[in-house]
Amino acid sequence: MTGLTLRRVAHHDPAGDSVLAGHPALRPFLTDLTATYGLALREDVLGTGQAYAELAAPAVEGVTNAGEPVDLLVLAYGVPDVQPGRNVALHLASRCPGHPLAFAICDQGPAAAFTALRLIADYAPARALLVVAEQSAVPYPLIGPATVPDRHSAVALLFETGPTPVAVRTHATLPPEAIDDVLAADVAALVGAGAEATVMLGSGLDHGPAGRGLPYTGLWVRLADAPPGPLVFADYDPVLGYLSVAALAAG
Amino acid sequence: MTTTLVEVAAYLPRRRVPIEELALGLTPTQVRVLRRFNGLGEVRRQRPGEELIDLLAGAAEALTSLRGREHLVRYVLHARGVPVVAPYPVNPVHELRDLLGLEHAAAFAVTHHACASALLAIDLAGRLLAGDPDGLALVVAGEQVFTQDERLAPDHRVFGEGAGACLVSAGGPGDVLLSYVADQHGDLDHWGDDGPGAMDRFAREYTDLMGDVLLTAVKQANLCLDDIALVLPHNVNVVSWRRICRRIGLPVDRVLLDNVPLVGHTPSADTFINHASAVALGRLAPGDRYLTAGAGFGAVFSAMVFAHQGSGHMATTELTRFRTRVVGTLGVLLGELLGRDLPDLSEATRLFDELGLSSSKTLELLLSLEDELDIDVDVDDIDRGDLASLGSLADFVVAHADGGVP
Repeated sequence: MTGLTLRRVAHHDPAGDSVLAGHPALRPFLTDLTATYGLALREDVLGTGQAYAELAAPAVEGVTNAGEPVDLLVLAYGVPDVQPGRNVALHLASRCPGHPLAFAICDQGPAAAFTALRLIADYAPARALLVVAEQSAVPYPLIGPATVPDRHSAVALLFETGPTPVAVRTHATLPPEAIDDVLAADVAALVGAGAEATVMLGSGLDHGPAGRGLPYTGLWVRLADAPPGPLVFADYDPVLGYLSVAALAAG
Repeated sequence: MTTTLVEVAAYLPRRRVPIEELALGLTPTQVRVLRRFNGLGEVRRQRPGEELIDLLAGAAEALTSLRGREHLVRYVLHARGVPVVAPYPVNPVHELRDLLGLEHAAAFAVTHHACASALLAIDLAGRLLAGDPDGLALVVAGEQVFTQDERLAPDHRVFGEGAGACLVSAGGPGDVLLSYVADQHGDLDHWGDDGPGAMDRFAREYTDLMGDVLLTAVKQANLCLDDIALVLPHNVNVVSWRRICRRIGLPVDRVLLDNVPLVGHTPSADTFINHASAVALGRLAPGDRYLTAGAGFGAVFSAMVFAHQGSGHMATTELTRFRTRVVGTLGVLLGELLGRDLPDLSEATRLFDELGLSSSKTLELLLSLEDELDIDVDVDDIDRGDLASLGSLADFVVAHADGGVP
């Protein structure tokens, strides 16, 4: 993997809902989507929520400059967009300097953002964007355990080529009782003997107030506070059972 | 980095639905246009009660080389044409992972490349496996057609249900990825501020953009168009591929359009379905270079070039096994049909001249074969030459059977 340095982080968390959540095409789509599972729409929620195209655009603009073309943009999310058929990553790329290759990773809970980071490192870009988004409106009953935020949030992280390789470790189907040992071993291996690094934990591992209510973006927002130098961060998803651990250099 | 397709498989639901029976509100004239000019005819649909997981599992379980190698699978990727295919938190890719006994693998969906998402997923799988020569990634594609986006008028293509799967490795035996090009046009966004305008421009620019991405992929593979033995298209319609062929100077008979009237357009799975057909029909020989391509609103136009490695291809091995079963079963059934032992029977035995079969008896034989092997044989294209010998009949069955091959 190539070396990457985290250069900038921008966060956008508007309090209100997007007018796009009221698009007339959504009711028939969602009615058909939920009917096959015997679910009825929640009228109190339908029409609310955020469209990731609108939610993420200010964050992308917050970390990019016209003179700095971006090679790759990867969007990660867990809760579906209120525009379920929209290829938002392509939309964001069309507004991003360099019109980068863009795609989205989802259905992996909070681990999707770590997978996105791993893919960014694999591409070895000169400059890349990781965009993580979450919105809290799900207009039908949840039929199983689910990670849902309590508000809307998008974060964009700008990475540039740097001297320190990015490392991402994903442990699938890890029971909670195994977390401590696996995490300790990963952190020790990624930091290295005798070295020091800033360690940050997501809301799946640290149940304190930091990042509370933002299970997908909270950790990534807090990376903005990391001091320059080695950084190790991790999160656990109790629903899908992923422990994700990453190491990179903050700039 | 070398990305290879170790094996490709496809799955089609058994239920066939003529396009006029789909609840699309089509006028008789629209149906005639779809049939006559777009080359569409019928699509496959699941039966009521069948679920998305049934589609995906149908394709993944047809991958014979997965059996016994589950522990080597590091990733399971679901390529999505439509980003949302089930109500949250229903998670088809994790359901599939667990169903296949791959709980140790990381699973996720790859999307926002519309109906070209499968090509992206193959490329990502290869990247994730770089430096891990033993590792495998399972890529699946397939979606239910549970709704009709009212802004996507069925005037050019009709969506069917089907699924595909492939095993990807980094450098192992299989079809070698030579190039991948994804040409994005985020302004052609039918969910954007000017959706109808974007759709109009998409339609106007489609032929040029698709033609360009095909040529770019060929060039990036250091090939020329004459080097391409076959194109595995997305099955939107026949007429658009004729236009693309004229635009870039490609003979249309090098595009595998056989599935357009039979399957329609399946979100993201067309590449796999057409690959399986190409192998079954003998349209890919070892060493052949082939293109596969897809496109979708949003918008993206993508193409990949592969070199086919037939000798090491598990799907080909499976086909060979299937043909052997067909020949053996036909031999048994012929003995029963004629009421006598046939000790000298061989693939060269002439069904009419040597065994005295009539056309109707031969069709009875085919029906018995279908029952015996639990397959459906499409006999629309059968002619007297296919019935000439036991071997020619077996070839026809292998090329036109549904249910017995990957």
